Amino acid sequence: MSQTKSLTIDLEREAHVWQLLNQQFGIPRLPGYRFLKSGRKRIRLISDSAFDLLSRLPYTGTTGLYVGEYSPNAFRLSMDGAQLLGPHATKQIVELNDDQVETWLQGESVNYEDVQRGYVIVVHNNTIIGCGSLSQGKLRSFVPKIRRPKPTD
Amino acid sequence: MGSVKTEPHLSYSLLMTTPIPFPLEEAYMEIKRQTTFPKSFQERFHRLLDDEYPQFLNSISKPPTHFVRVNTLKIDLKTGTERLKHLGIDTSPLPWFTSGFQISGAHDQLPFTREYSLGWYYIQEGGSMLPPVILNPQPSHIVLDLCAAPGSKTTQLAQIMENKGAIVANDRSFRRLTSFGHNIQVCGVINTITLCQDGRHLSTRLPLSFDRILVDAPCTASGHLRSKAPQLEFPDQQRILGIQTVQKGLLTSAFRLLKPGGILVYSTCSLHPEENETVVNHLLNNSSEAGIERPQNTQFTSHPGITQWNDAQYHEDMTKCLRVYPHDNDTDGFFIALIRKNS
Repeated sequence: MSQTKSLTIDLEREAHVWQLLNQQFGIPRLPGYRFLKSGRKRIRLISDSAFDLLSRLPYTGTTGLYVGEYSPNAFRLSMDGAQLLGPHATKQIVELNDDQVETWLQGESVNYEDVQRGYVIVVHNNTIIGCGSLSQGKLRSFVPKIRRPKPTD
Repeated sequence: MGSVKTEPHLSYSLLMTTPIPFPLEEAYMEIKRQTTFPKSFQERFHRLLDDEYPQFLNSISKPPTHFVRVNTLKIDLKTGTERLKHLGIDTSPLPWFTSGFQISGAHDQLPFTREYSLGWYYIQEGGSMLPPVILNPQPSHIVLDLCAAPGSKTTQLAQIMENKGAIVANDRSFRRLTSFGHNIQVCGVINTITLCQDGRHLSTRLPLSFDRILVDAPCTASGHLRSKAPQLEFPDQQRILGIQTVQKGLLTSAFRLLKPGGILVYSTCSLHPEENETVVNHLLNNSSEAGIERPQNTQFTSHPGITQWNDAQYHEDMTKCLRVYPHDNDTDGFFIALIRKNS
């Protein structure tokens, strides 16, 4: 039972994660979703049915989906977290063009002038592709190495 | 399980050369068949298929076909399909699963695309999409996937369940669960809890019962005759019987975890009766609550299960099981049994 307990976050912190998502991206608290912790900062997303099941399982491995990193003042969405929760976002959204997206998906920063600052949801051709950090005219990429498109040769 | 004895056979890849014009091509194909598949293997399938054996041989001698599943947890079906066309990949929809496609053209470029990295597509053999379709879990269900790694069918189950409900995904191999975790993440699955346990003992350890259970059991993979022919080992009878013991243990354990009225799908990518009808028959003989049902989804061609093999006589209901041969739908071979726990 110990592992299950270590995954569960207290309701106060869960509410704080939703609050940060709302403040940063305008994502409202969504029914049917619960958060779990994974390590000190990492947050995972799980369906409420699976969450209810957790307390009845004596042991578990990887559970739910890694959606981002939590800090007291900000929440950085993972690539998949942005794709899953991003459609509910109303602010902090930036659109990349064809050239920029290729560079950005390779994990490199791209030049991007915008009034917005901080973590942003990155969109290309009306599709969410991840989350980046915008400051001083640069859009930083957090695309993990394993997820960068591989060259064909 | 001890050392594995295999019958010698020539490498399939050695025989794959540039196309040869007819009628030499026919002769070449015949040589390839005779040298790639051992005699005992050929005799076995001749007995199973009788008149259809030449069709079967022709089918497994052809190059493998390629399939993809549009991951509707990440992208809607229309956009996903259009994007494949834009990438130069020709698609032909699978009748048994709306998000499944047979692909050709520039399909070998798919793993290098940005769309693939984003998790929009999952490369999955067409026949492998059948067991989750037949299990047909609903978004409210609690589902067990007993032998889950590497996650093709788990992610498909999550897709069918629209990321709702819950899937307990178990696999005995921690190493295989690493790639499973990656696939779950890339596909955006949030309704899955992972366990790393021996499935044969899970019924004594889990204080739960499930609405739906998928037992896609480890097997000799004799159905993968086209896609994995170069690496396939042709196991002897002793090896098949060793795997059968594991399969019986898994199915028995899974059936105990099923709710009354619940449904279990037992599937293998093997076509040997010892790994299929024999295993299901063992469950029927040992559990009066188990009943085989004929699957409702008939959007694919299949053969009924057999009721006799060598000296063994199976339950009559075994004809409700499905044997999917490579020449049926141009996929790899599969065996599927739909079992209900009667209250």
